[in-house]
Amino acid sequence: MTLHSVQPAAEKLLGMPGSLFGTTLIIAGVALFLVNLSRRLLLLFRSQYDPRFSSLGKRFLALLTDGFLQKKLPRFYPVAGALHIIIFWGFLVLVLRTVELAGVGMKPDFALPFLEGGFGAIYTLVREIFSLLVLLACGGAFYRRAVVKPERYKGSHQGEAYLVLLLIAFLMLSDMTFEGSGLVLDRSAGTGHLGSRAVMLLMSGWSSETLISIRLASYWSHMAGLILFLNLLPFSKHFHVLTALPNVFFRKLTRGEAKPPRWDVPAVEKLQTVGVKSLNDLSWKQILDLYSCTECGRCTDNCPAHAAGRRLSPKMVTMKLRDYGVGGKGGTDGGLPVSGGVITDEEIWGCTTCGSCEEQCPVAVEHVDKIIDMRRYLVGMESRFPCEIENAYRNAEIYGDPQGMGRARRREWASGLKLTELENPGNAEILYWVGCAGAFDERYREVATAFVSLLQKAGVAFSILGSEEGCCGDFARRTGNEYLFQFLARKNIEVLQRFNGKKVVTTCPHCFNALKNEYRQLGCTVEVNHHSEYLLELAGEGRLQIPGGATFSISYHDSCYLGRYNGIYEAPRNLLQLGGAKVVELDRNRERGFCCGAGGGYLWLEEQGKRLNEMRVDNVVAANLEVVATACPFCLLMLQDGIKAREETAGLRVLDIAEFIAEKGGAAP
Amino acid sequence: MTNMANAVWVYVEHKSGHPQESSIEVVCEGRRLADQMKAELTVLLFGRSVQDAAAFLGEYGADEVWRAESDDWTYDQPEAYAAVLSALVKEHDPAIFLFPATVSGEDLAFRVAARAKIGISSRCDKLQLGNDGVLLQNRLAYDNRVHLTESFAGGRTRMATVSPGAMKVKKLAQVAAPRVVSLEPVRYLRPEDQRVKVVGFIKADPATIDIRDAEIIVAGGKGVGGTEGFRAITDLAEAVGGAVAGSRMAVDVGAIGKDRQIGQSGKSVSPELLISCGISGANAHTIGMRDAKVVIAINKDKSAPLMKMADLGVVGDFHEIAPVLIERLKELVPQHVRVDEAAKETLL
Repeated sequence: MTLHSVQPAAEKLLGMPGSLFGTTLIIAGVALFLVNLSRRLLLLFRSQYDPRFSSLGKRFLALLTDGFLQKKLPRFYPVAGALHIIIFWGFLVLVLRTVELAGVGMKPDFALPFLEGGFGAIYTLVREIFSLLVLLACGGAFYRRAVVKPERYKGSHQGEAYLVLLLIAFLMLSDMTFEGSGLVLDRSAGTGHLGSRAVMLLMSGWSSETLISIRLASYWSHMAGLILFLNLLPFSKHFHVLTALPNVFFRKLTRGEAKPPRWDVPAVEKLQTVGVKSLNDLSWKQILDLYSCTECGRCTDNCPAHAAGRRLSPKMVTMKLRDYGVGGKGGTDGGLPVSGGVITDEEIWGCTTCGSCEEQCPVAVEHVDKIIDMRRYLVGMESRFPCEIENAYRNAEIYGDPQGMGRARRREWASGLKLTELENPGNAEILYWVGCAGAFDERYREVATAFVSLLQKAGVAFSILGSEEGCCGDFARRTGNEYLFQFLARKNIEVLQRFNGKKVVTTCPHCFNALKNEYRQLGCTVEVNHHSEYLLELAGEGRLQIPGGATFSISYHDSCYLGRYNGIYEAPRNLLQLGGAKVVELDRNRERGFCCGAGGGYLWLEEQGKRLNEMRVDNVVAANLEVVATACPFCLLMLQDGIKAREETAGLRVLDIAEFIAEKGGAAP
Repeated sequence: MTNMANAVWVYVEHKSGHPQESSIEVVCEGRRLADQMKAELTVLLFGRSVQDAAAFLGEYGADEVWRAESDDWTYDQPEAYAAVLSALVKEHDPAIFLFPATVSGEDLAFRVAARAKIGISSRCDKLQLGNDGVLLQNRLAYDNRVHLTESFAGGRTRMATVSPGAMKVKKLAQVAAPRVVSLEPVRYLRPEDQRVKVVGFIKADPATIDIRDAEIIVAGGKGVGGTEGFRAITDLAEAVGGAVAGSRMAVDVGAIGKDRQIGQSGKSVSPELLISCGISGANAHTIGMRDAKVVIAINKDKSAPLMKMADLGVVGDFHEIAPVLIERLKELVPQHVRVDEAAKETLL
C-alpha cells in the first residue's frame, strides 16, 4: 500500500486538520444522503401490500444471474450490455477501495486489515484493472450517447446521464492520480499498475511540492465527487444503483399472473376504489420499479405498440410516474390523477399486454401490471374506456362470451363430430377447455376439430364442458374490468371444482394462462396443459403416432401468452418438427416475439396507427414460406386477417400446430 | 265531466284518427285497473280529426273520451300537448295517467311529468294495485337484466309509460258509447308553450341514414374492390332503396366511412334485408350482422362462412352479377322515392 506517502488526514486543510475535515465531509455527505433517501422511502412505505417473499431459492438465483451476473444486459444489446457489466462489476470491486479511501480521509495511517499482505496485492491489481476498464467503458458509453445516439434513449434524462458518466470517469482518474502521485513521492511503496503506473510515468521528476498538492487535490476532489455521486443517486435514474438488485430479487415469478387490484383484498367487490388513482395506490414493488428504472429504453425499443406509432412508451410511463412521485405531488390525493392524468388515456389503452417490455427490462420492472391497474381505475371508477369494447363486456356478462353467442350454442361446433365421450366429464381422462374461439369462431372451430381428431386418434377419453364453460375472463382482466373477470372466473371455478384433480387442456394460451396462473388468486388451482405440451406428451408416450413424411419448411409465430408469459417456446416447435417440419425462425422470435396485436383486449379494440398484425405479416412474408404455424387463436385470426389485407400473400396459410399435425397424417387417412 | 278523484287516464296516439295498436293496449290495461279501482277510464285524444276514434275506443272500455282539437295540429305538437295535459293533470288530479312507451308517447309523457312534477316509470311491462291501493309499477332496468318494482310516495297521480306488446288487448262484451268531451286547448295554451312547431316529416334518405336504422342494407367487402368497385354497391343500394355499408376492409381501402362499418369494431345492424357482397364473413364482421332478418350473400367462394349464414347464397363474381341485378331491379321496382321527392313526402 502507498499510505506511508503524504496522508490527507494528516495534512491541514482550510486551517483545520485533514482528519476533521474528512470526517465532517463524510458524515455530512452521508447524512444528507440519508435524509434524501428517507424522503424517497416515504412513498415506498405509503404504498400497498405485495407478497414478494415466496420461493426464496428462485429469488436468490435470479439475484445471482440477472443481478450480479447481469444475464439480460448483453442479450440483445451486446455493446451497451458489455459496457454496463464492466461499470457494474467495477463498482462492486471498488466498494472496498471506497471504504478504504473514506478511512484515509478520517484517520492518518488508516488501513483495512485484510488489505495488507497478499490479498491486498491481488486486490490492488484487480481494482487497477477495473479502474481502467471502467474509465474506458465510460468513454464508450459517452460515445454511444453522443455519437451513436440510439433511438431508445429518446426522452431519457440525457444531461444527468452525461454528468454521471463524467463523474464516474473523474472518480477513476482522481483515484489513479492520488495513487500514482503517492507512488512517485514514495517509490518504495511499489511500481503501480496500469492507470497509476501511467500517472507515475507522467509525473516522475516533478517537484515534491507539486506532487503533494496534486495528491491532496486529487484525494479531496475524489471524495467530493464521491459525496456528490452519492447525493445524486436519490434524485436520478442512478437510484437504480441501490434499488435494482432488490428489485430483481423481489421480481414477479409468474409473469402471466396479473396482480389483483389489491393483494390484501382478493374480492374486488369489497373494494371502495379499484385501480390506481394516486401513486399511493401502487404496491411497494411498483414504487420500487419506478426507482429502479434506468431509462435504458429497451422496453420501448421492443414495444409493439410503440413500433406501431401509438403514444405508448413503457419507459416514459415509468419515468413520468417516478418524476411525478419524486416531484412531491404524487403521493397526495389532491394532485393530478395518475390514470388519465399523469399518464394519458391513449398511453394506458395502447398496450397489448404482450410482456415484451418486462422480458427486456434488465432490472425487472413490471410495466404491464401498472397499465392494468390504471385501466382498472378508468374502467371501474370513471367508466372511461374505448367504446367498442362495451359490447364485448356486456356480451360476456350476459351470455358468457364476448361475441354474445350464448352458452346454449357452445356445443354446436362439436355437433357434427358425434362424440359420445363429450357427455361424460366424470369418466374423462382430460377436460378439453374449448374456449370462446373454439366454440364460436368459424375458422377456429376447424382447429378445435383438428385437436379433437388427434385426441381420438390417440385414444384419449376426453370431455368438454359445453354450456357450462364460459369466457375465461382474460380480456376483461387485461382491459381493467376486474369485476367482470372475477364474475366470469368464479362461474368457471365452480364448474372446474366439480372435476377437481382432472387435467385441463386448452388450445388457447389466453384461457391457459387465466386458468393456470390467475384462477388461483380466487382459490382454484387446476392442472392445465396447453395443447402443444399435451400433444407432445402424447407423442412421447407413443400414444399419438405422427408420421413425419416429407420434410418441408414452415415458420412459427410465438404467442406472447404461451411464450413470454409461460415460457413455452419449445413445445410447439418440437411438435412441428415431429410432424416433419423444418421450423424456420421469423425475425423477432421467442423472447423477442412480436405481438399479433390482439392481446390485452385488443381483439375487441380498434387499433390506432399501424396494425400490428400487418406489421407481423411483413416478417412472415419475408420468410417466404407457404405455411406459418401458430398455437393461439388470437394469433391465428390476426395473422390470417393481416394476410388477407395484402395482395402478394396468395397461397400463404396460417395453421394451428394441431391442424398441421392432423394434416400431416395424424388424423386424416 | 264526472268526478275525477278516482279516475284512470290514458293518452292515446293515433294516425289520422285511427288509434295505434300500442295505445289500444294501454287503454285495455287502463280499463283493467279502473275496474279494480271501481273508477272511470278517461281517454285523451289530441290532434286533428279525432272524432271517429271515440266510439272505437269505447269498445275497449273508455268511459269518457276527452278530445282536444286544433287546426294547427296537423302533426303532433309535443310542446303544446304537454302544456295542455299538464294543466289538465293539475286541475283534475287523476289517480293514474298512462302513456304508450313509443318514441313520441314517451316524449310527451316525460314532458308532462316534468311540468306537473310527478314521478314516472318508463317502459312498464306490468302494473298492479297493491293491497293498500298503491300502484306497483314493474319494468326492466340495467339493460334488461333487472326487474324493478317501483312505487311512488307523495302526491296523488301515478304516471307510467307502458311497453308496446306488454299488455293484452281485450274488447268489451257490452259496449256503451263513451261520453265525448271537447276541450278548448286555447284555454291552456300560452304563447311560450308553442316555441317549437312541427311542420312536417321528411323520410330519411337510405344513402345517409344511420345503418343501424336502415331496413335494407347493401354491404360490400374486400371482394368488391376499392372505391371503384364500390360504385356498383352504391348503384345496387339505390336500386333496392337500401343503405350502403361494408366490412372493415371496405373502410381500410377508403370505400366507405367508419360510420358505415358493420362488425365488432363498427356497428351492429338488424335490417329486414341484407345483401352482402364479397364479404367472406370473419367473426368480427358477422357479430355485427347476425340480427339481419334475411341475408343474401354474393361471393366467389362458396365455402365462405357468410354463405353458411345466408338465406340465399349466390356463388359468382359480384361485378358480373351486379349489373344484371340492377337492371332487373329497375324493371321490378320502377319508381324509387328519391331524396328530393322524399323531402316533400311525409310519413304519417
